[in-house]
Amino acid sequence: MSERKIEDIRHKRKWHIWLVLIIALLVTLFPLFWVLVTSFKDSTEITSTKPVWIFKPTLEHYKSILLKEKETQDFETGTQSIVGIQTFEFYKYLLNSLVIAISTTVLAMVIAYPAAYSLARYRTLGDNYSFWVLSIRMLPPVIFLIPISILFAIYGLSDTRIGIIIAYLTFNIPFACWIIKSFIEDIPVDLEKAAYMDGYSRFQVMTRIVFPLTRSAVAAVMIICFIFSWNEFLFAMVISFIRATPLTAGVGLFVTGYGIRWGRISAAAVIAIIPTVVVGLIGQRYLVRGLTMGAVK
Amino acid sequence: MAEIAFQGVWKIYGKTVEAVKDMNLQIKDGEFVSLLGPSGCGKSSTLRMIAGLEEITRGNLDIGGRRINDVEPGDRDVAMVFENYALFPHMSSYDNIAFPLALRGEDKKVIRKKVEEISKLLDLGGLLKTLGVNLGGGEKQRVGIARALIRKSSVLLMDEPISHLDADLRARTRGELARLQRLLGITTVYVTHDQLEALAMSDRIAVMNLGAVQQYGTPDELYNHPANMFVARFIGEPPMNFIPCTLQRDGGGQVRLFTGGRGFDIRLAGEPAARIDPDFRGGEVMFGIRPIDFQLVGGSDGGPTAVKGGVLNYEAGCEHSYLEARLCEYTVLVECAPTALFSEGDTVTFDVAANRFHLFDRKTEASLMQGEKR
Repeated sequence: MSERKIEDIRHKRKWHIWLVLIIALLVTLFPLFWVLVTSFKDSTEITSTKPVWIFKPTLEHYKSILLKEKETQDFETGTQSIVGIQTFEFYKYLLNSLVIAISTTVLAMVIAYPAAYSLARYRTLGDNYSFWVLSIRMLPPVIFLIPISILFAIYGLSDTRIGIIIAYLTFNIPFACWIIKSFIEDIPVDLEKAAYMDGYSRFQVMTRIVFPLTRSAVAAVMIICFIFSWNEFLFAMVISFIRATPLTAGVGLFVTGYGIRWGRISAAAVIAIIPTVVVGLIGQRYLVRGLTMGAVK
Repeated sequence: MAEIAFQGVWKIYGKTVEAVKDMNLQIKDGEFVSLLGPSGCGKSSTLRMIAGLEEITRGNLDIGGRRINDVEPGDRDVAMVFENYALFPHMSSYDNIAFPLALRGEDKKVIRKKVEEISKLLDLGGLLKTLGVNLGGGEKQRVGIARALIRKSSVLLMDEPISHLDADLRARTRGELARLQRLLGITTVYVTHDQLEALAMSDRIAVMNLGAVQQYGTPDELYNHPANMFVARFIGEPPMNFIPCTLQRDGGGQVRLFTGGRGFDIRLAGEPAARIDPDFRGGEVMFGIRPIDFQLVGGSDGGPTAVKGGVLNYEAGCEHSYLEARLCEYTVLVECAPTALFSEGDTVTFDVAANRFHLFDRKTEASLMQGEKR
């Protein structure tokens, strides 16, 4: 076969790959695009049976969320303002989300790192314990919902930020632990032994030798923990009622007895997406480097 | 003074795996001692016990007269060069070398001066700013040695530090290490599985197998007076030839060695016979002879210690030639002068007792030669 033919085949194959990628990208991004577009439409355009592609953008939904307008007239329904819209306290939810996501991420790392180190370097609680830790993450989260709700109700943790943080930690710690453990295992033990011989303690070895070498992995895991905590909806919806409601659950308040306020849901969703996109963009080099660190030696 | 003394030291992993068994070893101050043996013989475990990286299960380990069984690694005044160099990849060569001193809180100017001194000694001047991760094998190894030496500790431990280098660099580094050790006079324990390395560098060598020291002595003692078949087989390249035979003492101090088959039946008298342990009256033995110790005999007879053999293969070389010969039913390797010429099927006669030969008890594998006890 001539070189030209081989080259042609390669191009054809590439062309197919591109087509698949473009389709996958469209399928993935279209809902996001539609949410973005919807957030700028007025209610008649949103509820129109035929999709409206060309429209005059409006910032009403954003204004109503961000400026906390006590509306006399509901923009979407044309009726008097109703419960759900007036109770949507964007800044409170945003603050809750930030506190919960940041605290969960930091705490997960503070707890998971020494645990991962212990699992990587010792036979902590037997050979299978580390896998047992990970198995918690493999179960569907809904399994934990009922026991956690009952326990939180008993101990007064329902509708508190601490309660939601604890609930999120149950998922983030095993994940963080497992990923970091595998990275620590890739670091030669002799590096640590050399540091012991020079006088470092076990703790100093972990913090000053091993930690700097796993920084990329830690950054990647922190980004993933943050995004998980920020995006979580199920637990937030069940555990929080008023005080501790994060943005994801808050958006759900637009589903009222009088109708679903798609415009505001979309506007709130667009705002809620921004931090994860920013974190993702800033951290993408860590994500790639961190998650592939052990892959190529 | 940094003498190292093992007194009945055991290392047992779990409950059953005996990595080091009842080790009794004295290493003198300033001596270069190698722990030599195959993989899994317990040499690295021994080294790590000295370093404090492995706990001692039983027995006492003293350094400079102080029992150090329970002393933390950092307090033992022991430095170590690791097999994979163990350089911190996120630090520069300078920081790697300065690490032990920085940890002790020494003044930055003093550290700089000491790093410069040691870098000069090891020719590291141009590499001080390079990150550990970007160094080549030989460079990493030199930085690793510099990091160990800068502490000026009384004992230096080296765990196969040059095994990852290519052959040429290994040969050069071997000489450099030995020179450096003599220059600094630091008590050194060196772990290796390469007998050439151990023979070239060491004052004394402890040959280990299955967790036990088989023989502890100078390179000359190990080569010329192996205590048992393991040492005889392990030391020397190409390895010693073994021929199982029977020893019979005749009246008048004569010794007869013969195999069941035809061809190997020799009689020793005088000095060669006198070298055999007189307490061993007779029985199954292993006759050992190094390839270099065969003596080719011209003519057809050759005397009472001559053995005939057929040439199986001949490998001509520039420095040495090797002859593979069939001696009764055993194949032996013979080293001969490069000028010798043989062809397959030739018949050759060797005098097997003209130079050195060795006898071992076939049951215990211990040497039966006088002065070759462990």
